[in-house]
Amino acid sequence: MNILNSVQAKKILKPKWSNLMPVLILIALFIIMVILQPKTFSLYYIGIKFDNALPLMFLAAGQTLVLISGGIDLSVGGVMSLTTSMLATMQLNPIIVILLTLMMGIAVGIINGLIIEKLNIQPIIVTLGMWTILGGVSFLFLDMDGGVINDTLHSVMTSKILNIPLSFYLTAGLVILWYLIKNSRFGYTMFAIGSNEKAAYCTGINIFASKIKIYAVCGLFSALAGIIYAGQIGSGSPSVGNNNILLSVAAAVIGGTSLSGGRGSITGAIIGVFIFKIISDVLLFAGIPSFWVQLFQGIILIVCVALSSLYSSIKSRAGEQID
Amino acid sequence: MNKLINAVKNTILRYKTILVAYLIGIILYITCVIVIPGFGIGSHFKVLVLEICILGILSLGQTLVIISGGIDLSIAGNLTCTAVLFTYLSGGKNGNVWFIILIVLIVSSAAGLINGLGIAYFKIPPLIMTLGMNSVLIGFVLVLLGGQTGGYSPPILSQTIMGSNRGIPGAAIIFIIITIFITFLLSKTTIGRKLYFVGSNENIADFSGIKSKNIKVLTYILGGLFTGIGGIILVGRLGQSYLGMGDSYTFPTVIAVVLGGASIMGGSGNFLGTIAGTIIFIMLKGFLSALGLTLPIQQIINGFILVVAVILMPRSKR
Repeated sequence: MNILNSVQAKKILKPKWSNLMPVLILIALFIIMVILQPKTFSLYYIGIKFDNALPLMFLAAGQTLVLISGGIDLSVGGVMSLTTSMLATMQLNPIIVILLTLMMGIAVGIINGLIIEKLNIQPIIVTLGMWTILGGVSFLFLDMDGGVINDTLHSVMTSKILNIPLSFYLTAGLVILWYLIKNSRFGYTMFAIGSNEKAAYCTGINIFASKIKIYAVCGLFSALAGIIYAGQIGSGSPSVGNNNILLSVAAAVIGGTSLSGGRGSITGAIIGVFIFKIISDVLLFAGIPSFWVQLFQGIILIVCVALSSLYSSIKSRAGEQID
Repeated sequence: MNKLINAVKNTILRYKTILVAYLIGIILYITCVIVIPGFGIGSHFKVLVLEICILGILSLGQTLVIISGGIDLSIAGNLTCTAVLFTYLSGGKNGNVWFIILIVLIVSSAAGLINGLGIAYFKIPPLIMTLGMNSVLIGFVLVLLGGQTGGYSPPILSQTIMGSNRGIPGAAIIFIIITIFITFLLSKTTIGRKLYFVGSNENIADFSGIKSKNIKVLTYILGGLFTGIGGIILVGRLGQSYLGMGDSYTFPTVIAVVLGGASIMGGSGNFLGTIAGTIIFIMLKGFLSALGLTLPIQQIINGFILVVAVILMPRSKR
């Protein structure tokens, strides 16, 4: 009885602690920032941070879903770049263009899923190829940063409701969406496939269809990230996604998502994105030259992941002793 | 006699993918020479050789890491860091060049060592560890340069790397030495055997008494060292170092390794295949740009080639 209780307690405690660590890091960073520059503790500044983080948030959200299912999607950046390029160059009704870009994102996801599942190839290679292809296509649409985004889209993306920027509501929507996904059939299959694909197959899950769905959703999220970015900036950029691909993986992993699948959350990924966005500000306010930002981002990434993986390996060792 | 034929047959069957890869490389080269006037003859041949040497050395490091079941995405950062550190320390002058090269190579190996320690002992996923290291190294370069754009290579290095007008470029000699070294390492020492074992199943390797962690650390150190050598050769070839000079090298190394028939999951792969993959990649790059295709279209074709090559490669089931 005692053993059972401790095992149960471990099961309940384990996800909580690993979820809590990124939150603690974020809070610590935020407190340091407020101490260094008290003016940052304002609605205006936090709103800017939300605006700033929103595209990467959507990218990381899609990436998280794929990572949970045990894959990885490097084509998210390609989809994002292509979306902004399409929005900046296609002179059609903006709603049609937006629908087109969303369809493009879903189509890319489906193609990724088809190649990965039907031809049994490692996701990292397929999506790397897809990223290269999409990067080329977006340069065909728009050969350099620029172009004009529809005014309505721009004003919608930069609008405020009740004096709070739209990005805040979208973030909240993303969190709610995550809880809906997590408790849906789609979510359960996703976690099942990520933890053990063979076992999932044996319980009767249609792996093929589920994986294609997951990659399609990821493509959709990436297209949304592109639309948001283009709307905020007011112009297109054929290379914007390239810097964000690995950042999306990193944000998801800092937020507690496992690269080997079966564990992770979009809320964690959102926190991971904020950690990355706030570090640069903390360094700026601390009077450290901007050259150091990248160095610190790398160190924080390594330290966070090392801590979380050490923590989980200690936990699993303790679990083995009990069993 | 029959035995001999059988032996030859077995060797051919065993290295089928590699032979095919070389064949594709040679066919590409011959096609280019015929179709495009001036391609691959005289001075352009030397350009191709130098490009193959640089990408080849980097890809050999990547091969070792991929065989062990990891991946090294810090090549861009490490390459840039080595190159910039080298020009920074030498100041574009000939004095102490060899000593500085030694220091720089120690730094790049140390970056590999940290990668390996993080991955093997702290259980950080290779993708994230090397990515973080890439960011750290680029950050280090930014701090070092402090707003400058780069530096210049000492003349003696450029002369050595490029070789005299008709002589063999030094880069090619270094490439051949490294190839022989890796051949020896992988086929004549126990380390080679252990490396494949660790790559195909780390747990079983551990249980059979192999110190798989140390093997992994060693692959990353060698990966870092080769990246450093590649960086110095690149400085010699370009005559200067600048921020972002390594950015276009990380993924081509992965492509070269995959084209050479290695599995990205580890446990298989061959340096001879990687060299073939490098040759194919460089030939294609030269061919596409010689055809006058714009960069985006070249990029699209590269992506297609990567995916198609992986689809056509024979591979084990997951």
